[in-house]
Amino acid sequence: MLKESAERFVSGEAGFQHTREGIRFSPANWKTMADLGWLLLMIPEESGGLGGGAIDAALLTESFGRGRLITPYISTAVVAAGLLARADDFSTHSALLESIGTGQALVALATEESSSRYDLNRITTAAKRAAGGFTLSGEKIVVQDGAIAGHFLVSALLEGKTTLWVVDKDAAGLTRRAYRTIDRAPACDLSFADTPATLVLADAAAPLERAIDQARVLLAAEALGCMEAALSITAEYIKTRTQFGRTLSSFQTLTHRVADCYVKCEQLRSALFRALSLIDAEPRARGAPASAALITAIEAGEFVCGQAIQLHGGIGMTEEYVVGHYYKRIRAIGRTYGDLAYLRRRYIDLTQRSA
Amino acid sequence: MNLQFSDEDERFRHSIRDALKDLVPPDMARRTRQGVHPTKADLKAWNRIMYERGWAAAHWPKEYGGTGWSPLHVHIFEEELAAVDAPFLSYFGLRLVGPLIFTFGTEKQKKQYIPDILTGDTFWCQGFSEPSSGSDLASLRTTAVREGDEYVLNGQKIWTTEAHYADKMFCLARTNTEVPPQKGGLSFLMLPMDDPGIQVRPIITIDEGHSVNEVFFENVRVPVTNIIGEEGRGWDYAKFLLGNERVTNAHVPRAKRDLVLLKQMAETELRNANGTLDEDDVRRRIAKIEIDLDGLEWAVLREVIGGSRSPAIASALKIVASELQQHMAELAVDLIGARGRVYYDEADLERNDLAASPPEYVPGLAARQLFLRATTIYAGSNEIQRGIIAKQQFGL
Ligand SMILES: Cc1cc2nc3c(=O)[nH]c(=O)nc-3n(C[C@H](O)[C@H](O)[C@H](O)COP(=O)(O)OP(=O)(O)OC[C@H]3O[C@@H](n4cnc5c(N)ncnc54)[C@H](O)[C@@H]3O)c2cc1C
Repeated sequence: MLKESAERFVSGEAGFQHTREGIRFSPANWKTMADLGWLLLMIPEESGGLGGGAIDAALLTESFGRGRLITPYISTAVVAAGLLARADDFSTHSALLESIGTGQALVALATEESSSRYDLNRITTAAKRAAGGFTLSGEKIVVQDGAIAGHFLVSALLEGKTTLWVVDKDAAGLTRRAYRTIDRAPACDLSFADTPATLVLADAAAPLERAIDQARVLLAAEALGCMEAALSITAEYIKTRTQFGRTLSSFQTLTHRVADCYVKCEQLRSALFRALSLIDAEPRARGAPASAALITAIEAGEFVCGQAIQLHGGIGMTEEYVVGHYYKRIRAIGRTYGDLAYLRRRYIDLTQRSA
Repeated sequence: MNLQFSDEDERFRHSIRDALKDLVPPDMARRTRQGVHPTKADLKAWNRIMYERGWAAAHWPKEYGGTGWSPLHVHIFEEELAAVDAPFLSYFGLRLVGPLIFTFGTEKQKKQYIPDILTGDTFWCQGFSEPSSGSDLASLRTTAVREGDEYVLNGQKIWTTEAHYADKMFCLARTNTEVPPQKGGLSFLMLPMDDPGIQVRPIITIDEGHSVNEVFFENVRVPVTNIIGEEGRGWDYAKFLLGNERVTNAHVPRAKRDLVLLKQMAETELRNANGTLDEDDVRRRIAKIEIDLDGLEWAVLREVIGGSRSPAIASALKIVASELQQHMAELAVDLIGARGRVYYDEADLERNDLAASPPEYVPGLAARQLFLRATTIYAGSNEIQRGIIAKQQFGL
């Protein structure tokens, strides 16, 4: 049922529309998603949510991929909601979590720094005790959905440990430089100068890794949606486009290319199912398949969506046509919660080196 | 084959290097490094600078305003230009229509068009592709019907690079629909872009840049003297142009410069990454690119000094060069981490004052990678090139 309503949603008004506007974020879509209960899905029941699982969320993100819908769903309703629900002092954050569920609050995760390269513990942003609480100093880059967020979940070092904090967008000493990414998602760089912050997790390394593994798997599901849609559009296209007096589909090199793309999609679907089935397992058993799913998505996505452009010829290169947008989303997915280099290293660490 | 640069070649290289010192304005050089679509102003300004040195058409024979240098010296010259980040001069006049005019045009046409191509006062664009005729170019439908001393053109071109910069277009049109296009049906015509019957509409590509266009013709009247060469021989001339492109399309000098920049970038990123980049993987990818590029350069030099002249070689060069360009751009984006997904608009490129200021090479890399997806599509797609190799080399 969730799948049907998600497909209906993206194939209706919410789906891909060509626009020359900068950022693609629709408050109206976000409200509809809240009304449908989707933003409560990944919040535990005891925290007022629906207590759904990653499989449900993956149905949604796969549909978003298919419909080329850019939303802050993963960053806010999965990652931020999941982390706030596990806050050391839940009562401090319950109001913010509640407003995520109702669609009123957008909360972005700020972990990446100039030389951290997705390693959550290689950071320099520091927390320190100040009169009446704590402050943060440092900077974060390419904060997903950061340009539209009202709050940030920020990782910082305190006494050698990775800790997690919530910072209001209007907090003193916070500078935000908003921009967008190649897939028209909102993002920003942040710099903190003695910026007041409230503690969420005093020992954030493990919960962060867990939340981001979830995000990785959901991104892999979104990538699959992108790829399957791009592939079916391409297969249809070569059936109708004629050159040299015949349809492109009469050239076997092209039909075999389509077949190769199908194989890649199926490989990804299997990797995705495996990762989803292990998403609640202990860190090692969860982390390796989660990394594997995103690695597969990045590699297969580059091929499938790249070939979708290639097989279209010139029209595939245009901003006005849809296949290029699938390709760009894949390129962005491949450098959000880890890129190939990082994910391969993590996979090797988890599977070939002893704990 | 033994290819060594003689002392004389080396002296030549050094004289060029000295002459080019400080010749490229620094902001023009930066735009050349960062951008993938040159601005019209840069193309004009640089064309003028080159013209004043007598170098705008280095590869042309002397009598038409070229240098008369040997192909090897032209290659050296282009390498030195690329090394100082000089913009690539507008292609269509100097590389395509100019040689076509001085080879097949009338004396009058040579006098009329060549000087302004050399100075860069006239920019050209190439109107070949049409919506239903891309790979199958010969099927094009634009018609040029003779009425007295004029041709009347109707139809549409698409993917016309720099049509929005151009003063003139050279195009292929059907002057005779009774005979097959390859056997007398097509002719080469020159059109002024300011004709009221010509309409140019921009096409924005996935990098969000503007270099290609749609061009519409509605009863565009041009004198019959605007035909290049003979009526009905358009297909032969198109093949002549493709032959000329075989070496330039490999873009070896620019690729060598890109590799130098890529290696510098890799060292910087490896240093800053502090162990978070996979150094072995980065170095292996660079080595692969370097090996392929050195191979490509030798393939080009073999052609330049009078090699095989097999049509299959031109296709092989196109395949290798286009994929190499893509691999280099992909590695560059991979090197910059999460910033590889940031969209930098043109104002960002100019300002370069971002909050957590990334290095100068960062803005523009992601867009370049996206645009270079087109290298395997344009100038004869790589699928078409494979077909040519199979047919020409093996009769398959
Ligand atoms: C950035 C850019 C700049 C360009 N600049 C110019 C320009 O300045 N002037 C100009 O005239 N044109 C220009 N072109 C057009 C370019 O030459 C065409 O896009 C190209 O010839 C492909 O044609 P098409 O786009 O119609 O694709 P199609 O011909 O429809 O091809 C679609 C797909 O089918 C494949 N295919 C087609 N035929 C076969 C076959 N027989 N066997 C196997 N596979 C096949 C192709 O390889 C491709 O993958 C430009 C294109 C681009 C993208």
